[in-house]
Amino acid sequence: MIRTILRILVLRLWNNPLELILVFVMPVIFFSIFAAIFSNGIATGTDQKLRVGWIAAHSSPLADELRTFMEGNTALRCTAIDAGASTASENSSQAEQDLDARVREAQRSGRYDLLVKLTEAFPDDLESKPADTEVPVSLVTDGQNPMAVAMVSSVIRGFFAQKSALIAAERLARIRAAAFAPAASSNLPAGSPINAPFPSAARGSVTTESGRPAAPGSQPGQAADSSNVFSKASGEWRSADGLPRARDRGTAASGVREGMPAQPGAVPLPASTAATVTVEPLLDRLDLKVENPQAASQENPRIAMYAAGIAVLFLLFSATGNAAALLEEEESGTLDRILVSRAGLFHVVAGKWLGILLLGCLQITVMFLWAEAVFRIQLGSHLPGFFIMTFCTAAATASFAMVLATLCRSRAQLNAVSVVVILSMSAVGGSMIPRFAMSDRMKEIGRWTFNAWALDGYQKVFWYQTPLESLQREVTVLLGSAVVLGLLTLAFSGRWKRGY
Amino acid sequence: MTGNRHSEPSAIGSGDVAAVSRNEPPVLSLRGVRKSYRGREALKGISLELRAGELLGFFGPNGAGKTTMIRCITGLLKPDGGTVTRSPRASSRSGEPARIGLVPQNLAVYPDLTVRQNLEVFGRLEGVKGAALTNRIGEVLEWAALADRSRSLAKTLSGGMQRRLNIACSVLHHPDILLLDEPTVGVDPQSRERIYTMLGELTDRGAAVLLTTHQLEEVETRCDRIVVMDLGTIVADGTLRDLVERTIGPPHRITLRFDRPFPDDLPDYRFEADRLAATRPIESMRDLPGMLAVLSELDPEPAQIDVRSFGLQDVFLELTGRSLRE
Repeated sequence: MIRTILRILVLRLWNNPLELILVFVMPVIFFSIFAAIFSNGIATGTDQKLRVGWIAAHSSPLADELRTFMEGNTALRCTAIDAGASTASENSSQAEQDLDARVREAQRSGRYDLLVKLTEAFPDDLESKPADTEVPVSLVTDGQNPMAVAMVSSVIRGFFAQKSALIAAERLARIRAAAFAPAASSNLPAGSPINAPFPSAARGSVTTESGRPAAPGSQPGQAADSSNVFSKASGEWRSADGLPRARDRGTAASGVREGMPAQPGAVPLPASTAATVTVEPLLDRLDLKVENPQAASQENPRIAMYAAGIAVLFLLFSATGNAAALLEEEESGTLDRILVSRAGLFHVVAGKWLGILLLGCLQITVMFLWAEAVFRIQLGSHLPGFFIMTFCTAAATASFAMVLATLCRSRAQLNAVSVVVILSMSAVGGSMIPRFAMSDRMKEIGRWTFNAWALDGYQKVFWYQTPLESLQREVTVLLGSAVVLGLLTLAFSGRWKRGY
Repeated sequence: MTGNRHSEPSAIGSGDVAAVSRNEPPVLSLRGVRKSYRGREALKGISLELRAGELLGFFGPNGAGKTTMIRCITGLLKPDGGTVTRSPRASSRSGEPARIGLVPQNLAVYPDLTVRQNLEVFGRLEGVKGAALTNRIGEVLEWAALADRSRSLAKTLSGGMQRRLNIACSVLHHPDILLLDEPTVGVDPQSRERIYTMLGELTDRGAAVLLTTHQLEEVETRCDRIVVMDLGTIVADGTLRDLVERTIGPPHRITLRFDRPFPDDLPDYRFEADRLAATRPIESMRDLPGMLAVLSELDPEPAQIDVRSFGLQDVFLELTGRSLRE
């Protein structure tokens, strides 16, 4: 008996191609989509890189060096942004405002995951500035990609760590050169190797970074108040109190630099060298700030994006569900009855489309009202943009659902097709996975979905708070799709009039 | 003919066509209508007329082309050839063609709407509005015996009620021609009786009704005229008696069976080879008593006497054969 029941199940599955597709093909499709997203592109070889915008108030050797360093990082795609002529203005406050305006403009373009902003205060070089001169670097984020800040700040800190090491190496070379200078060379046997132990007589000629002489018994270059000491025993850099350096502890605790390796501000000498060199703690001078203009003006902008993503996903499902009523009416004969009445096919299609459109608008509005009530997405201050995007999105999805219904022959077929198409569109278009996590290739593919255009539009409204004119592209694409798909719906629906 | 065909006219049906008359021009005419699907001819030059007040039964095997023909009449299908003509409404000065009401085979109502809501939406689709619609809904609810269920969701109705609602939704605009595709499928005898009573009231008011069905008994007993259709053509058209006479001959037959071979000849009887059985056609049942009087004097006497009246099934099988079509 069990075998017979099993046989029934297998036969039903075998005789139903749609169910077979849902059972076997759907998982493969979704696996492929998600694999493509998380493997950075569909075998295109294009790696996902963090898009970093570089905007500097003025050009300087140190800034150029930092930029070159960042450009050399394979995880980043660094693009220079023109800071504008106004930044050269003598009025520094005005220049700063102009720079901020440029930054804001670049951020609103949506082309960058993060912006590195160097103000006028950024030094031209490190050597010519006093030791307590801070090196201000601002990371401007829109908060969409939480990884961006951590990655870029890590790279910048890496640059300064490397810079410290290079400076230390140079100074070490100078120290060693000084040690082997004629004044001290008399104490060395002729032909001593450069990494030979320091002769004790040479120690007195070595000064620390602070200019004070090395403590008695200390190695050359070791400061009397040595705050940064490399413990050969432990292999760690420690302050005098034996704890990790206070600045590093502070940055780690700040959260902004969380996850970054604690780079010591000095470089160890080669093992064969008995001396330890204290170098300039550049990382201590690095003043890394994170700015999020959106966070300053909005309570919870990210929630608006999630609301939009989910709303579009369910809008597509509910729209196809309502459009499926056409197929039900066709199967029951209700459509024939309506078509025999005074209502023509155009009335039927237009009426259904309008109903789905209005229902969609209402559905999104309810979603955002809830988001406003619970998560404070500041709907009230974005109403015009919200209504424009909601109308366009609902219109496009209504046309899409209608054309899908006219292409399918039965409700069951529509259900199967819509599940595949909508989930695929939502996965690629950003309703399920944030678009910033996708490769450029995947983002481009996402452009073929309503989700991506709708999300971009809502993003501009709620996140970047751009003027309504900036929605032109999204509105054009969505309304254009609505019109084209609507016309296709009318064309395909002719089969109901012609018979089948 | 239904028992109610000539009862008091109700408000149901066409209010414009007052009487049924064979002399009036047909309300619907089909002339040489042809329709093909992918090279297969579904209708091969159908010609047909339907008059006001007539209840026409359309009978034929599955795939005969009945539904295609209905779709051509309604305009849902455009014929490849021939013409479908609806006469102008009597009350219309602008020459508005006769109105059509369609009752699809399936329950073509919205199951999640109440009975009244269904009537409202289909009434509006037919252009009936306001007080006229309200009044009309009241009349139709009474006509279909659904007044006490007007607030019930359509999906909660019994099968018979749903069928009646299905018909009710098609008469809100006083159609001159009502087309029904198997209106009594799956209903109990009481509901069937009620449905034919409703249709009888419609024809009494002058509406022309065309229905397709597989129920032989219904066509035989309820319809004024019967059209038999097979393989896209009309193979017979007329009253039941006409059809029987044209296809089989006299409408009745008497069969005598004997226990042993009958030795003599019997006038007008045709014996089988073994002479154990003999048959004779009967033109009229009025002839039967005289025949039976003759038979009472036979020797040997018949062991069995069968009197049979031919029906639509005999005509149908005679015309379409006994082999399966599908």
